[in-house]
Amino acid sequence: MKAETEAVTDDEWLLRRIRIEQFRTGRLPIISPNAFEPRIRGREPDTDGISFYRKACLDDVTDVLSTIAAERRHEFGIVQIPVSLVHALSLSVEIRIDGRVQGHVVIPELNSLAYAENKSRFTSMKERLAVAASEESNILVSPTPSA
Amino acid sequence: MSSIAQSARGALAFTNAQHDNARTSNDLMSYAPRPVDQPNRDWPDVIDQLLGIRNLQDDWDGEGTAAIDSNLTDGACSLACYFRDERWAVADRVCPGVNGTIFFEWHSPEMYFEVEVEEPNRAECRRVYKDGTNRVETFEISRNG
Repeated sequence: MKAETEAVTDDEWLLRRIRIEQFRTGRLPIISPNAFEPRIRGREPDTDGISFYRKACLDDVTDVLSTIAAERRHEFGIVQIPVSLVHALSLSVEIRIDGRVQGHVVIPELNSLAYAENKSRFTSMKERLAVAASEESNILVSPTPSA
Repeated sequence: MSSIAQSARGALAFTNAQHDNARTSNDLMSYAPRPVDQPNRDWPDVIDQLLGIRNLQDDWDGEGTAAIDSNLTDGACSLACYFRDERWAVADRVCPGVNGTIFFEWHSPEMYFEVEVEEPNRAECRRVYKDGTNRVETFEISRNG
């Protein structure tokens, strides 16, 4: 395992929580591009960029759900995308230690202010991230509907 | 399907956001995703999904996001009915956004097209060409009646 203070390298994978509404089995891509939409409103807008977690810093990928209430964790899936893709999109990865889950990072270019100013600039990036996240091998946990 | 999913005929004014030229609904049709072979898919499924979005409560995403405004959902249903009536390809997905909007999505090897319903009578459309250029066209549609 890597320490979360260690530099992020191109061969790493980033994990992201995906809501059940943005999963759609039987369609391609399975993951909506809008699962990578920066949050402009709410209690925690993505002012520093959208959040990911470094797989290399975690014992168990489901640790990224630990900040979600236990009874609601089934509503989330987990996907991984390669750091190399982030860089290929001319985006960067910055370490933002948050103390709750190891390996928290952000993509600073995908921040709420920039998104609010010009959403269309992000459309292609969101789509490329969604296509990568939708590859079968990159879907690590699928959400399950409530009974 | 609820009564709000009935026929939604009405004037749509089409404005190109990049050039600010008033367009007609005929111009909009030139951007419409073309129907292809879509087995087992129809607009009522999409409208049912919208009704599901309408039922989302505050904190629906577990991260404090407010419920989607019911007027916005109604507007999205009207728009879906317009797309259906104008024989657009059935949307591949409709989903709520974390910023209180609703997205329709169409995916193909050639393009990604999304319509983001931002207000009950207004939506922003974005088309990404997957031809290596990643060129994006953006325009707005608004409902007059």
